Amino acid sequence: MTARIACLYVPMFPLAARLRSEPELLNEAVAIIEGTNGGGHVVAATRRARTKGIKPGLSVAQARSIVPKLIVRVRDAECERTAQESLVEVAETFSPRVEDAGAGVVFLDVTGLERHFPSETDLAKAAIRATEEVNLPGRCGIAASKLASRVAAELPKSPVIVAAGQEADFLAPLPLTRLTPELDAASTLQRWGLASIGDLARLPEAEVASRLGALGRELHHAARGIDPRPLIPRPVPQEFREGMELEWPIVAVEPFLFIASAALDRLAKRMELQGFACKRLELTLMLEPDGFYARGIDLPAPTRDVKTMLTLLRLDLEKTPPGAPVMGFSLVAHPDRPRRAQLSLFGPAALSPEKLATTIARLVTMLGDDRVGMPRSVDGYLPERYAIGNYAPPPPPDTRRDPQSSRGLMATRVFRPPLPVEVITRTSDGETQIASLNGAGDLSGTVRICSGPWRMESGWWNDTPAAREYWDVELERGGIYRVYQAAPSAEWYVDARYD
Amino acid sequence: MNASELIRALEKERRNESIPTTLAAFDELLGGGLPRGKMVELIGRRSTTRFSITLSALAAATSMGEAAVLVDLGDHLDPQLAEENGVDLQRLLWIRPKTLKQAVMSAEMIAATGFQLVVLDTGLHPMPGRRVAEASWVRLGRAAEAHGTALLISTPYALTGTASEAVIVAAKSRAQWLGRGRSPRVLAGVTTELRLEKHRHRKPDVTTSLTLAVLP
Repeated sequence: MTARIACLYVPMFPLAARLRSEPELLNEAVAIIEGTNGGGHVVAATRRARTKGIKPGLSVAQARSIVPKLIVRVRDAECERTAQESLVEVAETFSPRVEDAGAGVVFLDVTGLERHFPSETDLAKAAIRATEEVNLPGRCGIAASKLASRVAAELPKSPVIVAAGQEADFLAPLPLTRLTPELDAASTLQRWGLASIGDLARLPEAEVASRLGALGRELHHAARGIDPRPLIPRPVPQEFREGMELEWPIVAVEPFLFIASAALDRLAKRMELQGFACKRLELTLMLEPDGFYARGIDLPAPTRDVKTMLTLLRLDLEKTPPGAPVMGFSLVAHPDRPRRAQLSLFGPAALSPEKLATTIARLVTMLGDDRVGMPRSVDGYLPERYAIGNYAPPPPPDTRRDPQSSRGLMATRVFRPPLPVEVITRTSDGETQIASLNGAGDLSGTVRICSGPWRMESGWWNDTPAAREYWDVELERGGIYRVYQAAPSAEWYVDARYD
Repeated sequence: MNASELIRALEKERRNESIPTTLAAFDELLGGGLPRGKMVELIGRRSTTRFSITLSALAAATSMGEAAVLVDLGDHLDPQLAEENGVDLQRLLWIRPKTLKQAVMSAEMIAATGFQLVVLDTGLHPMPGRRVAEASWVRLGRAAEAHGTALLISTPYALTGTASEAVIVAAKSRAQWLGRGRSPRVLAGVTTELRLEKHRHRKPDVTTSLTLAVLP
């Protein structure tokens, strides 16, 4: 089977990447410049700017003299990197074999995909639509080689499909600049009187090679549609990254979260494309004048819920503010497979792990991470002891179970921390009895019946020993409490109510 | 009928079932236990076995393999004691809000996640955060109905208004002591009167007696 390679191409990539991060600039006169704001030159401009005469190569001063209200943005490496990753991820939804060729170009092996699409044109149109869904203008070309597919993708009328074996015929009428736009040899070839790729292909290979060397031989092969370079698939990504450099430093949390929200939204969409969810979120802030601020947030479970991630980010920043104006940021999401629920015919319904993870993350953001989880019993004697762990319930049983019969035991409500109380005791027949309690709220009144003491000692072998004498106390007005006197302070506390 | 249709039909059937607390006196008042998709309010002041009933409900649900939630406003749960009472801690989600508003919001979020039993214990009187708008309880009840969650609100005084399916009042609790005169006394148990104050489909004002032991 002849290999078929598709090329996804984003024209004016630096501009497209910037507009993806700042979509509100789409209908403005915007120029992207290379270099500093004062001494740079234009590399790309929006349609509105181009119609007013802004073109690549102009200096910023020249461009501003043509369009005084021109919005100028310096090329943003972070924006371009994330846009490129996004483009690669779109390609990966069509084929597992994808090569990242950089700067808005991605090759994908589409051999055998004819079973899923009526024609290669439909496949290319679907790829363009998918690229546009991640806010990048896409073009697509399909051919038997990387070179031909790239040239096809660069043509303005997209998609372009080059039939197998027709690469040389397809390339022949095109100008030489289409072959290798950046090649210095193009001017030499023009001096020879060559106008199109076909003109070069018709020259004898040995003659071109003797005059231009190895480069000439490669160029001649390319002109004849011969491209031996194989597609080199990229490895599976370990992380998803979004970010941008800011025009003006940000000093408040709210404006930053506004921008971060859009970045998280893009991250969530990219992870959804790959079937991933975020397990850990890392934030790096570029600070003014220089310096970095890095934070890592572990999510309770993999999630793609933007609101949850944003709330966690807000809480983290409010807890530990960066302490300097922010000039740029990058967000890295470490992916994990979202957990799937298994439906059951005969047993109890299982919880949806993704829903559960999102809910727990929201609860954690609302209440704090030590206030939501699975209770765990702890060895010891102090009734107020407890531990809380991550909630990860075992799968429900396959068949329905009958409930275990209740043991019919009275429970106690533990007071954390134990509540201080004044106690009046009386002694009759050599026995000490509690006569009344005087504490806050319901913890006051005459004692009807009491029993005790029961002695308890705990932790005498470590730094926090506890020695207590416990009593059960029923008040005349109602309520049965567990009261203790702590040694050596002799202070009284209520640590639980029978309820 | 394919498998997904069958599962949906079974889930629909499960909606009509109850989650028993296995405390006969309590289940009898509700006609078998806590109804799925409905909100039941349990009101009781000092030592009226309110917390014991919530733990029994959690123990029964988790022993059936269901995931259950305790929204514990007063932070009163003793995990060791809960385990002794038969609660499978691995299936229990423990939420410790600080205010009543947080507690109601948490319960609503959790009900929408698909838990089959949610117990909201508002702790002691006076509860932190005081009252919330009655509309919150209506919304909570609707969330439970939409997702087939059995919802038990355990509170020292009436909170849910018209939103609940049933209201049970626990009152007149009486401690039982062993030992008389000069012999040492031991708390043996507590007997409480449970009264069905309101039910949408059953005759109210039915009373039962619940006795729980302190020692196994």
